[in-house]
Amino acid sequence: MPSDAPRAVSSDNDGSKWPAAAMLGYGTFGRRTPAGRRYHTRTAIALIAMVVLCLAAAILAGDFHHNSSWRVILSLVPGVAFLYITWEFHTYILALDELARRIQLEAMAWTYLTGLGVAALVGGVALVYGWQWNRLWLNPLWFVFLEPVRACFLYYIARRY
Amino acid sequence: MKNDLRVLRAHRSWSQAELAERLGVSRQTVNAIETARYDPSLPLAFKIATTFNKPIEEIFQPEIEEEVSVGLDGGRRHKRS
Repeated sequence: MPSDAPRAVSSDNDGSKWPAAAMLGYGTFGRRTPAGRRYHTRTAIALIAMVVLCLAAAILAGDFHHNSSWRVILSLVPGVAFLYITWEFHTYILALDELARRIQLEAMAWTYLTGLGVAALVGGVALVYGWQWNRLWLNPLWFVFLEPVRACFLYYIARRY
Repeated sequence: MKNDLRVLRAHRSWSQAELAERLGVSRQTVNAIETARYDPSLPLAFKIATTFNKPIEEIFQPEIEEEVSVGLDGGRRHKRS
């Protein structure tokens, strides 16, 4: 075989082989890159700290007066934890290469549009039919459930490439 | 956009992962460019050209016989002219 002849491209080069489990489970491209490892580790620490603090605050707040400082902590911890995770996600996105970043941003855009559409649909029906909402259903924490939607879009969009 | 990336890479006996490492991108990106599913940014196209020591237009060729429009979803819609 001449030295400049193209080498047969091995089969392991074919296909994209995106990390489906990480994409659907965490909404990322896995822990292979330093940025991926950093994001996964720090997010896990933030979530564990949030759960531990919330549990501790919930238990201790029950023994105190309504205006105890534990109640303040309990009310702020989820927001602070998710603000931190958002910042880490921003750092993670910036560290991605251009195709991965494009897929992530596209998934986020579709998630935003889906949330907007669902909110408009449910809101419209609720207004017209005068639904009485339980306070639990109006909790902004439900927005966290857009994350699995983003993960699904991430997986779906990545399949195009 | 058509390109000769796969041929050029094969001439140098590089795997997709090796080329990706040289370009500072993921193997999936190299695969997507080779299969013409993704058009690289201008900086990455220049980096590819520098890596293979060839002008950009020798590596990437526009599909002139087809009018290509890119939708909001990034999907390509080809219209024969």
